[in-house]
Amino acid sequence: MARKTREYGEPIAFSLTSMMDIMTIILVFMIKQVDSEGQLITAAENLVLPNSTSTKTPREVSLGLVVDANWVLVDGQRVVETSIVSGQDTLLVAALDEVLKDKREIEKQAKIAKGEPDEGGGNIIVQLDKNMNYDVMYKVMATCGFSGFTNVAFAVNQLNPEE
Amino acid sequence: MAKQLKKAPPPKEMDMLPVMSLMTVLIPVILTMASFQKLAIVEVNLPERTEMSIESEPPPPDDNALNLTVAITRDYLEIWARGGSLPREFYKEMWTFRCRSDGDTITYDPSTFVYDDKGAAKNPPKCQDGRELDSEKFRYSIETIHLWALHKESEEDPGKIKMSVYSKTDSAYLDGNNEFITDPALVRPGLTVATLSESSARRLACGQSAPGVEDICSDGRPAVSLRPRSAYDELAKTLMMIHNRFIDSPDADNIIVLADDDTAFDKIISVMDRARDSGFFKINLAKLAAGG
Repeated sequence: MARKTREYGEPIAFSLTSMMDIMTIILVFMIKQVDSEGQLITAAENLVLPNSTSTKTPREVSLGLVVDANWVLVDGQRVVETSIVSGQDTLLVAALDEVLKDKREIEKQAKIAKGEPDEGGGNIIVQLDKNMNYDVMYKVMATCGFSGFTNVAFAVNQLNPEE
Repeated sequence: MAKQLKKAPPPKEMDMLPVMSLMTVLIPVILTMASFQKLAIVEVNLPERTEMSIESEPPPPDDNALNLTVAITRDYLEIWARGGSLPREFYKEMWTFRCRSDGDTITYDPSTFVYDDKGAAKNPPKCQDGRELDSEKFRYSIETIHLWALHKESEEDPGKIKMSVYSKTDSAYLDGNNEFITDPALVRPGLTVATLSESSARRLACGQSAPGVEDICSDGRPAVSLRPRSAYDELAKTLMMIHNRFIDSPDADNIIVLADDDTAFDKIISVMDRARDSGFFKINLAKLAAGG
């Protein structure tokens, strides 16, 4: 007797149910990961921020100053080489002071235009590499104060944010 | 003639393709928005005095003021308050690097590095897979700067590393006398201990976790470790004691952090963390004059 050959009927539709389950789980996980408040600071490239137990996050947008191994940058624009800051004897970093004063003036004008009082000095968030020496940090911080940015904060990596 | 019942057609399967397409678009969008690194800020007060030196004008004396100051030097941490100082907390600095090649960590004593005229290390750290870190930029691969507390009899004494028992979550245990526990055999279920945070007294247990009860076991056995004690932990313990004792002082929340020019930013942040966690929220920074 001839062997009965298998008959193929209509092609079976590809079941997407299990794929949907996977996608739903991934989506829920991702939504949980996204910070609903958003982040007002973004970690700069070319540096490693120190870890800290601080849980304080910035309330408003502030001017960003980054000091990495090679450059001091204000709002992403290179201002002065870090080695120059490190090598100078004076506390005031002239090139940085000039840029910061301009930024502060723009900030003041914007507040006047909005009809808001300009009180308490400007806000600035400084991102420094964790291995940067205190001398550079101190000069940068002092220059911020000279140029009107008196509310200085350092950006850090939150240690164990889930705890 | 019997009425012929109409046979219902087989139910149609829902078309999932549009939903799948939506998911496929949503996931990359959310991925781009996700932040896996959570950033925070540490606020500081701008320096009141540009440099602490003999020539600078001292502030007017206040008998009730605490005037708490922590100095970070190359070899020790020192606390000054009310015109006096506490014994220096000597430490040995160790650097832990994370190797990109094998993902493992390696810990080195920084004093063993020999540098050439250009500042490059002649003997850069070597990973466990045999690869060397960049001789010029290896400092930027430091993952953790440890300060191991030393017991010294005198300034010349090379010192002996102090050891402490640490929990699974990296907290040093303190006994009922507020002293660091140095013998892991003492840390057993049933013991009441504290850590370096406010109201942290807890009873140790095995396989049981509740408010005020800490599970110290892993696979049914106590999983605590004896490790070199951190000088930051010694500092935190002293600062907490000072804060509790001088809580009525007019400047009970103030602290000045002094440091050498070459002190790494990481150390400043670590000291500021310990100060804040001990109740000193108003932190000022100042420079330590050359020569201490």
